[in-house]
Amino acid sequence: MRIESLEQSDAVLVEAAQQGRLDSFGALYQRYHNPIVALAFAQLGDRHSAQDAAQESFAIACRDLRSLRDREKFGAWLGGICRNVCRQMLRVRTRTAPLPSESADTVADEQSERQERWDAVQRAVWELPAGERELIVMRYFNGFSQAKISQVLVLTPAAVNGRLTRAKRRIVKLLKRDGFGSASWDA
Amino acid sequence: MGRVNDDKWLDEALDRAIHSHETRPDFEKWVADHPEAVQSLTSRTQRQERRPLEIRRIRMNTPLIKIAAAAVIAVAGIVGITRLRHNSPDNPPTTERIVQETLTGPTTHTFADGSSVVLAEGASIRTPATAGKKGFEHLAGRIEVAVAKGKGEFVVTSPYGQVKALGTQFRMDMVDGMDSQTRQQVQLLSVEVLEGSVEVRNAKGTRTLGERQNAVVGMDSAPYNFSQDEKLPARLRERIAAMLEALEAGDPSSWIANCNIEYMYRLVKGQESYDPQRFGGNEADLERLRQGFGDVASPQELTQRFIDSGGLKGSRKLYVRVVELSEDGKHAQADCIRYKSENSVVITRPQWHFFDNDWWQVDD
Repeated sequence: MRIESLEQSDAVLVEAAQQGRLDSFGALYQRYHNPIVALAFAQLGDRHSAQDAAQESFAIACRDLRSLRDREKFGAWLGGICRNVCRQMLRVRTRTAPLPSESADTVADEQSERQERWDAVQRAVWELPAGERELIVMRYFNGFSQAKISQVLVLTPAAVNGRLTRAKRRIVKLLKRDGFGSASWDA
Repeated sequence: MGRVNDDKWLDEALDRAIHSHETRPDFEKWVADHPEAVQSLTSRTQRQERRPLEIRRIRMNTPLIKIAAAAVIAVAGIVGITRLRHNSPDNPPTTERIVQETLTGPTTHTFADGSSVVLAEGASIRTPATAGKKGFEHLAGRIEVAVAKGKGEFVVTSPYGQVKALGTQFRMDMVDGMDSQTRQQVQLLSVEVLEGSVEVRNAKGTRTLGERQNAVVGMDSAPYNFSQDEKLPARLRERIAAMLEALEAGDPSSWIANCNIEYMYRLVKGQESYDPQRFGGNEADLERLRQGFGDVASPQELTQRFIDSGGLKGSRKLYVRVVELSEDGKHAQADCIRYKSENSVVITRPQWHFFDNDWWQVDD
């Protein structure tokens, strides 16, 4: 007899967690940890702060889980909590240049030109409108699937696809503006 | 801008600029770092536990109060002894604490009465280990239950309804996947009886299933079993059952036997013209069929060529959610779910038409 294997749905895990099952909340944590770190990274531009924001988001979710009625929407609900946490973090620190601690290092002579291009891409990403930036970061941070992104950002997979395309077009435009036209990527 | 459509260089650039080496989430560390949040989540379970008695000191200054207190203690003692005598194992005290346990597959669990449940990988159940209550809660995935005979009622509850069994063996599969083509979320519970009978019940209806029968239950719909659907002609139900059996057995010969091969032969030889009420595809499909099989010399050769052209691919399990019959009673279409991968399903809509004095499967 062949036995099919299926992943438990968010709703089942949330229901069990709402009844006090810590292991079910653990399964949700495992499922959403990296997407939430990516979402926080898109807001904060700093990986360490993003980790902190994700931890705090899960703490709030754990505390308030019983208030969640639409259990299928756990990912979107958690994403909303994460954005609020990030806003609070941004209020207490002045946001400087995007990815401040990550772009200044390791500029070897022979790599300087290439590094300059990566920095330009980073700058372009952080110039995107917030919604597009979230999409791009979530897509490339850990290569999350469109389905996973759509769960957290409350978009249909088709909408995720369309907006990703638009965001990429905008990045290309920003790169051109900064003198990084398509020819400079052929090297 | 012409290169926007060629995303490869941009993908590499974005990947390089943003990619993070995936960190493995450490839930245990998170639990250790957030004791208050964890306490908040698990406090409900603890609140349900019996609270310790509060002790208050009562000053008994007068003989009258002392006598009254002695009388109260005596009455309470008598009542307590009487209640203890009535608490036989068959009649558990109502304040008994319910200890629940969640089990996750792959595993096999055996209950005290000898009933057992096999959990596939990814399946989970919650056992309400309360004396006097037999059964468990099906939370997810595919399970197979064998209920001990002669030991009374055994009930499996689920978000879709409950399955009541009396000495039987049955499979349950809670499907929760996305249709790979339409991106539509598909959720249902399938109950299949291997031996004996079960009653499947939810708010919308009740269905009693016998051996080898299957019911599909949606969240907001009554349990459906096509073989018990009185609106469908008996022969059509036989055809549907034969299709499912052929698929499950992976037997292309049995599958082809549900199709009108004589008609198909006439069709590929150009002796019949295109008729959408008899042929499942469009005219272009028919043309391709004629190009591929038009050289056959007999219906038997056509059957063999069909079989040789490729077996039955994909998952062998098909769940029939509903079968619709046309107003004239000559055409039927089923809405079925078939696994594509672990979390992905395919919605298929096989059709049957009545012609040449029989029901024939024409499309899947």
